[in-house]
Amino acid sequence: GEGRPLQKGRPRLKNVDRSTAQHNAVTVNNVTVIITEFQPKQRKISSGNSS
Amino acid sequence: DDAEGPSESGEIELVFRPHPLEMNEDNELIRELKDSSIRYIKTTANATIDHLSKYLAMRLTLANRTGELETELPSSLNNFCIYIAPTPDQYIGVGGSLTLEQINEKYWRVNKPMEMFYSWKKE
Repeated sequence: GEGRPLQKGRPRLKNVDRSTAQHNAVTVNNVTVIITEFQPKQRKISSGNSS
Repeated sequence: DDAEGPSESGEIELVFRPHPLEMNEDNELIRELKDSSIRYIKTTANATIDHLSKYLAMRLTLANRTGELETELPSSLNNFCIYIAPTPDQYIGVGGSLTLEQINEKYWRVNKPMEMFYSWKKE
């Protein structure tokens, strides 16, 4: 039937540079999680001419 | 690397943006942050809204202390309000104790990374 597809994982961010990942531990109410932040990919501006 | 395949089931990736109405460019801080006001985050599904709020406060405070951010921050960064938009222009405030997994299950019905929004109450 229709509905949300069954999938093991969740969708991932696109157009982020994962090599820039910064990891930070954040604790709230004695529960610590790691929050990873990425920077967006820098768009390359192509100035070449094609004909 | 671009997104290929789903993330590990215990992790959630999301885009964290300023609330477009409450945190628009009339807000000096948002003007200064520009593109940096949008944050691309990955964390575990058991992380709560309070974790996200605290993380955002940490990052802004750090940026302010290092001089990266010159705009004066609110004296208290504990008044973040976090929203999710299940449909365009419908912003639902979510409680601090909710986990990202709970929010994802209840509100996010699309097959793309969650998008959440933040604002803070003026003092």
